[in-house]
Parts: sequence; C-alpha cells; structure tokens
Amino acid sequence: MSGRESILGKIREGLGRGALGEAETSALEERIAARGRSVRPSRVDLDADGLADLFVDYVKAVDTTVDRVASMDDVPDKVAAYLAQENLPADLRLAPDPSLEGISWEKRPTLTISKGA
Amino acid sequence: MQDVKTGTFIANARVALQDENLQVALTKMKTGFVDRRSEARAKLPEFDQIRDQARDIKNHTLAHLDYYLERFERKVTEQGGHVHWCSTPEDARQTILDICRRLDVKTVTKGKTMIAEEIGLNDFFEENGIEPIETDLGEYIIQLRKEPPSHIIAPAVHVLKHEVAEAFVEKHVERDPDRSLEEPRELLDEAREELRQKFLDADVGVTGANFLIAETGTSVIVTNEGNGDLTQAIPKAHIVLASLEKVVPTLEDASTIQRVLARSATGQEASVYTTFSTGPRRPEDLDGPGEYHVVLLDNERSKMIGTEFQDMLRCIRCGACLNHCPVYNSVGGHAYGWVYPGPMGSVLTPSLIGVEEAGHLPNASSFCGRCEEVCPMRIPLPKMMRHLREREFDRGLGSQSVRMGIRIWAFYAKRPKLYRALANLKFSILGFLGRGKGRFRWLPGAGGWTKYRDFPAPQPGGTFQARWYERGGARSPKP
Repeated sequence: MSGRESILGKIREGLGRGALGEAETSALEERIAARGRSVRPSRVDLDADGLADLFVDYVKAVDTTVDRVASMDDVPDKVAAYLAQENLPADLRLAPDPSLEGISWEKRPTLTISKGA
Repeated sequence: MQDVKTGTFIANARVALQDENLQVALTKMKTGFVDRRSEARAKLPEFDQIRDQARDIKNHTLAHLDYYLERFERKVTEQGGHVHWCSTPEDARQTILDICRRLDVKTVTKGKTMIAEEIGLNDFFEENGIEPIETDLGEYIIQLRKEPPSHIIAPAVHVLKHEVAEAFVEKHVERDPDRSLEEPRELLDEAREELRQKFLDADVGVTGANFLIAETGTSVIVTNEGNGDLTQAIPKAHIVLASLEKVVPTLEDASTIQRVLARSATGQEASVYTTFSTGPRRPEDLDGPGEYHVVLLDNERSKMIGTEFQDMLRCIRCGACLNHCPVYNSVGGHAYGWVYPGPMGSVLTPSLIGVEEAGHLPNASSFCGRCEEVCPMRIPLPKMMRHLREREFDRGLGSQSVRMGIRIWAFYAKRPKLYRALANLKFSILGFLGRGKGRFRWLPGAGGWTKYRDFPAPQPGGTFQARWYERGGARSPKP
C-alpha cells in the first residue's frame, strides 16, 4: 500500500467513513468557489483617502519612511533625495511592474537603473 | 528523529531552574511577547470573532481532510509540482534524500521548519554528505551552538547576546577575533554577510509551510527576515516539508487564520514577509526554483482524527501558549526534551511519540488555563492534558507514589461526608496551630510547597462550604 493510500485510509477510518461521494465533493467545491471571507475589521471602513492614511500610519509603525507625491513625475526626485539623504548608492533595481514603466527616470540621469528579479 | 529526552523532564527542569543565563533570557521573554500580543489584540476589536472563524475553518477542514489533501495534491500537480505522502519520519527523510541525490546536491539552505526537527533532517543530511545551512537567524545561532530550538517561533530565545557573539567568534574563523560584536546590529550584519553567498550557492532549499492551500496548490510561509524567500526562490528545487494538518481550503481561509497568527505569536499586525509559492518556475518567470516538491508528513497525526485529541490538529504554531505558560517561563523549552515545548508540546508530543515516552509533559501543568485563553484556534489544551493524564494512569504509568496519592484522594473524594469531616478536622487543627503567625514555614507532607514559600494558615470563619451552608446556599449574605 502506498503512503498516500495508507494516510488517506487512516484519515477516513478516523472520520468513520470512506471516500466522499459526488454530492459531498460538489458541496465542498461550491464552498471553495464561494470564497467566503471572514469578519472585516471595522478599521478599514474608510474612503480611499482614509485607507491611504491608515496604511501610512501602520507602515510607519514598522519603521518605514513614507513620501507622498502629487504625480508619478515627482517619483525620480523623491527617490534620488532619499538615496542621498541615507548616503546610499544611486542604484535602483526595478521589478517588472506596469506602474513603474511610465516613470521618467531620465529626469535623474545620475540614477543607475536596472530591471529584473 | 531528534533525540527524545522527555523521560527526564523533572531532572531537565531542575537543571533549567539553576541555569542563570537561561533564567535571565526567560525573564526578558516573559513580558515582550505577552505585552505585544495584548496590544495587538486590543487594536483589533474583531479579534475574538476571527478566532472563532479560524477555529471553524480548521474544524471544517479536519472533517474533510482527505478531500482537501487530495485537492491540494491535484492543484500542485497541475502546475508542475510534486506531492510526496510520507507516513513516517523515515519515509520523509528518504524522500528528501532521493530528490537531493537525483539533483547531485551538496548544500541545502533551510527556512525554519519544526517538521525538519521532528524528523531529524539536519543530522540525516550530514550523515549522507549534504551540508544543511539554517538561514533563520535563530536557527542559525543554535546550529552553530549545536543545540535544538527551545521555542517554536524564537528558537534561540534562550541565548543571550554575549553567547551569540561567542558562537560567532568561535565559528566565523576567517574574521578578526577582536572585532566588536557588542551591538545587535553588528551581529545581524555579520550573519547576513555569512549567509548571503550560501543562499546563492545552495542546490536545494527546504522550507516549512504555515499553510497549504487546497484551492490553488499553494504553500505559504511567514518570516520576519526574508530568509524563506531566498531559500525557496534561488536553488534548483524548493522542498516544502509540512504535516498533513497544514492544509486549508481557500486563500481567504488562510487570510482569516493569518489575521490571528502573527498577532498571537509576536504581536505584529502581520509578519514582515508572507510568501505564497505555487509550483516551480514558469518559462516567463524571472526567478524561482526549477522543481517544487511538497513532502507531506503524517507521523501519527492521522490517528488523532476522530479522537479526543483531534482539536490539537488546529494548532498553527504561533507559540502564544508557550509565551503565557508559567511552567515554560520557568524552565524554558529544552527541559521538555523534544521538538515541541510548552502546553502545545505537552499535548502534541505524547500524541506523536506516546504517553509512555512523554507522560511527564501533560503533568507539567498547573491547569491555570492561560494557554487555552490565549490560543487563537481555541484549542482546549488543559482538557487534552487531562485526557493524557487519565491515559497515563489507566496504563499504570508514572510515579508509584503519585498513583498512590491519587488513589487515596479518590477514596475520600468518592465519600463526600467523610471528605468533609476530615477536611474540617484538618482545617481546625491547622487553624489552631497557625493562629499566631497566620502561616507555616514548614509542614509535614507539604515539603514541596514549604521549601520555597510559606503555607497560609486557614483563617477563622470555617471552610468555604461551612460558610456556604451558613448562608443557606445563597450567593450573598442574608440581610
């Protein structure tokens, strides 16, 4: 008997039944498809701005720095300023993400950009 | 399998109580985890509701465990992964070795996995010429010190900072032995430097799994260091080592349980990294392992299904019970003698290796109930420890003097009038003898108590039951 059969057999013995029938497996598949969610924490009952503020509060609580920008055009300046402030090399590695593609990195030619994993 | 030393728990505990460094470490741990969990719980008013839902998810899963394991296997296989069903630790070790032999593995990086401890994987690797490298910082430290973990989420919690520095100086021999290792940051930076190249050079990465998701064939790990990600994404193969009960039906179910996992374990809103892995690297992926294997371990868990110990399979290894346990906080994890310490270990260990081997552990409890109170999955740990004590007694195990004491007590407890008469007599005598100081520094037969603390003398007014009768059984005094 394979390990698989042995383990499944013992589980079914403990549950006092054999393998589930079609009706039961259909019900379980429906449960999976329904993707039922748990209680939603009331703290997220906010509009978009409120959620952004909540995110910033929590992320700062775990020692993350946050800079807000008016548009994606401001991103290169903010990134360059952060690297300079922290005395870090001006090297950036960009993960493949559509939101990062349209940024005008050429505004800051001293940043060395590479892309990949 | 890790050496079993549960039979010497009492002696282990005595040694632990005299270990000054350990006692300092345990004192620091006592408040940290407990306070942070309390704060995290206070910030989430829905915490207890979510606990109930987490319990219900696991109960549903266990009632259909065969179905969800098969579904998980099907989804893993559809995406190019492999599931290996292993009844015993030996099966699991051999399965992993076979994978490593086929891939000509020399080094294996490991994320933290208690199942690997359970099956003795590191020793097995070394016996077979494969170098295991622990990448979780706590596991790395105890690997250098050649000792087992003492806590299920903070394996080196028993090690003080200067002891870590000593281990680094001893083992990182290529570095200046007089370098400064006073600051935690210095220790962290050195560990990162030592491990970075090892991540890149490893042939296979082994992780555990906090969840196995049947809906998608996904394994989930939670880490605070990112070591799990580097362990599983870079090498030729990722081996997930997990026990059967880790499976949950859906992504949403995993998220629900996750809401109480980190909060209960460390008081974090979420662990720093939560990583979902589904199958091996696809052609369009930038990175990822070439192969993805899930080694499912049974090791007697299937036999817990349908018994009074099934609830123990809801455990998500948060460690909250350990953190709140007065016994664990007094003796630490090594005293328990095997992989799983504290209240959860006191139930799981005898369930896996037998009450004959581990009967001491369920007796190492005052039944204060804090473990059950804080358990995110609402596992009735004291009740199961009591079942194990009953099992131990029924099998004629344990100390003869304890068994005799229980029989004598049971004789009187079954005869309430005689019990009350003797209790009243004892109460009167002790009350008379102790009326001056109100306490006893020594009592015959109570040496285990009076060695460390005074025994209070009964106060005037009679026993609780006497006062109860006097009030006619009412809950408040008569006007």
